[in-house]
Amino acid sequence: MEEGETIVSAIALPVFLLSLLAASRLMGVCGRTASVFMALNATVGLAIFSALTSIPQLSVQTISALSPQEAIAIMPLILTFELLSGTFLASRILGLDYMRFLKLTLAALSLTLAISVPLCLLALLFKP
Amino acid sequence: MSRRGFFFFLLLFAFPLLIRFFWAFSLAPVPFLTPDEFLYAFSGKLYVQGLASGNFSVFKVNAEHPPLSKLITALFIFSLGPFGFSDIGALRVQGCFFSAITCVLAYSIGSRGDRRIGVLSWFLLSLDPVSIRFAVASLDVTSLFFASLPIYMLLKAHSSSCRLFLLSGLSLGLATLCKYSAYPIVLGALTLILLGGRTPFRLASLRISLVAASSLALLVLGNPLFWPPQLIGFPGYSALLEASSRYAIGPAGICLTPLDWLEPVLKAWNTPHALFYLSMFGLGSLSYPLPIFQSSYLPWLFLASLLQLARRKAKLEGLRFKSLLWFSAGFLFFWLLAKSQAEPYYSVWLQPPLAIFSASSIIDIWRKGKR
Repeated sequence: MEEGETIVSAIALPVFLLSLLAASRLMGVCGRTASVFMALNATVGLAIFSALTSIPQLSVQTISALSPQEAIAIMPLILTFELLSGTFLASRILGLDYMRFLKLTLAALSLTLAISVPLCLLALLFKP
Repeated sequence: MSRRGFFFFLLLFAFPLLIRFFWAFSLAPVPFLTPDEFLYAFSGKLYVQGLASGNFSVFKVNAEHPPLSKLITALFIFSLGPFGFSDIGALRVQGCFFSAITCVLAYSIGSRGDRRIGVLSWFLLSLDPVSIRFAVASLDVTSLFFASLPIYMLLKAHSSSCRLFLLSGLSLGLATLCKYSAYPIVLGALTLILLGGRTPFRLASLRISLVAASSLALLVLGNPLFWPPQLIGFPGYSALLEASSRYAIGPAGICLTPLDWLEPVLKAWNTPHALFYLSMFGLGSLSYPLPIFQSSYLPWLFLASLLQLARRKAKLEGLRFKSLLWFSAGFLFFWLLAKSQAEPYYSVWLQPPLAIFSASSIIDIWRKGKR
């Protein structure tokens, strides 16, 4: 695997962690709580959707067989579902304020997008 | 250990072992995992011959995986061969042995909370279809056993001694010498457990560094591919990179994580291909790759326990919280790892924390119902 081939992961993952810490600091949330919450949020959101994919109409094979246009159209719905369910359950089991941590999740994701897309574009532009 | 205790542990080991043996030797086709079952047995024997003759170039074969599990396979082959076991048969005995002993470890980890949790964890894991079916994935089950040991040690109540963290690191080193995936999963779990446990930042960093450093030291010492080229006669690290590059997926075989589908999107912007790459990015990053809910009852118990916890707004702590964080570290790692889109047997890594979490939740509900 060449270095340049994993540019997006190499940029987006650290940027996400830093964005999460920055957003939690700005919102006055402890960094540790934010990290544990985010790990559980992602796990629970993905796990719930993964459970739903055991329904034949929602199976990964069915979703993969959709045309790219249809797949892109339903992706925001899946993301919203995972985000809301993950945040709800993670905040409930950690005894946290749902709305506050939903804002934290959205802030961290928006910040990641705003920072990493220009960085990725720059990195790809200067990639030999 | 008393005589009664010894027989109890023997029973804990024998029951899952017999179930796995029955699957591996009566029901599973030969070969079941191709080409792994041929390759690991062959590489293991080759490594032993190479070590005996001082020819380290044998480690170029199947260099993408570390050697310890394959060396253990060779040990099983040489010990069981005279009793009529084929190479694949001996490899399956190894897999069944480590899978069964992981069930005993699940009992021990669960018993840190309560003995009933331990017994139920053991029972759930012993009968888990994924753990039984993929007990023949020798690299993963051997590594999983060594990777579960540090978790067992670190769940010890009031674990504050440096020796414990050093031992955990050495055990993680052995797990990493069987399969590299163990390293990020266990370190991720440890980091989340220390973060969730409110350990002071400085102390937590020191402990994580101790585990990371000792396991890395053992990995470097135990894997000839990390030894100086002057000693082994070739650049081992290059051999490892070259062998690993075969495991990429995606456009022209370049993606490492689902996020990397964004690279061709950005490159091919304004072309019809961009739409396809974007759909692949969406699918990869929003769908969990391993079909865990279709193949086992443990994820369903896990989900039901989570919903029950959220409904009751119960405070999550202790063993249940730690096993959830352990599961989370493994789950997120496999979500990010592109190769897990293709290998269902990686799910074995998730089953012990799922069994412990589910057992802990069931016992908690049962206790509350009794009151």
